[in-house]
Amino acid sequence: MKFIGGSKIRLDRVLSELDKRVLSFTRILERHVEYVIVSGYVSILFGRARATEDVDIFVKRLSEKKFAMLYENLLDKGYWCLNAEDFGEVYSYLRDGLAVRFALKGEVIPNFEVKFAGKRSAKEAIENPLSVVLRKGVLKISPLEQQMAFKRYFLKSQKDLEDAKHIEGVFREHLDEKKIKRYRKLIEDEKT
Amino acid sequence: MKKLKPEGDNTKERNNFVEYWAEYVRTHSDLEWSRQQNIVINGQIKNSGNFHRKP
Repeated sequence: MKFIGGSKIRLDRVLSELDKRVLSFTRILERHVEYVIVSGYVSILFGRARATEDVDIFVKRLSEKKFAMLYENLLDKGYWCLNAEDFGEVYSYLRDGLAVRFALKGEVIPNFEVKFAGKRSAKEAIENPLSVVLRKGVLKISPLEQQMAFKRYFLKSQKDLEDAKHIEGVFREHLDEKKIKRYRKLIEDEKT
Repeated sequence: MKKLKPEGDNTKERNNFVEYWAEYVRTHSDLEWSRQQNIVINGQIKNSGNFHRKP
């Protein structure tokens, strides 16, 4: 993997089946809305040796009309929503700040957990994503320092701490400790 | 790469391995580590198709 400037990484990995699924899903998403992938999948993308049931994604808040277009597009491409069939219900969950999950029809995992970016940290991640250039497409992920802060100081489960340790080990020459501290403060402020 | 040190404590043992693997990823080509990682990842996806159909 190689950094290209401050906001792009070229990653020449052999794509996993999960990577292919994520690329297919985000290709649909990006036709309708800006997005950023956060949490566990980011660590996995960069080599963490574990599986996951879901891929967490923040999207910019959409109007009901625009979300309807995205929703129809997802259904057309073979996805279903695990939370509700009725479009109005799906949108109401998102509007209320909840996450909804989509998977390919006939499957439950892996699924894509989609949430409107409400908090400042999520909005910042969408505004300043890290682009990961893969062999068959580009994925937008949240800044690595934000990943570290979120996992180290907010989620803090064994799995999350190990994810943070992995990112720290792989990117130790690139991580900016000042940024990690700033994100930590931002996340703590959002909790209160 | 340094050798992986065995530990009696399970958490320490896991942490050591996570650090070891991260160092492996950092110092080896994307091709080399991803080929191995995909054995773990792809197994899950292959089985997920059956998840929904099981009673």
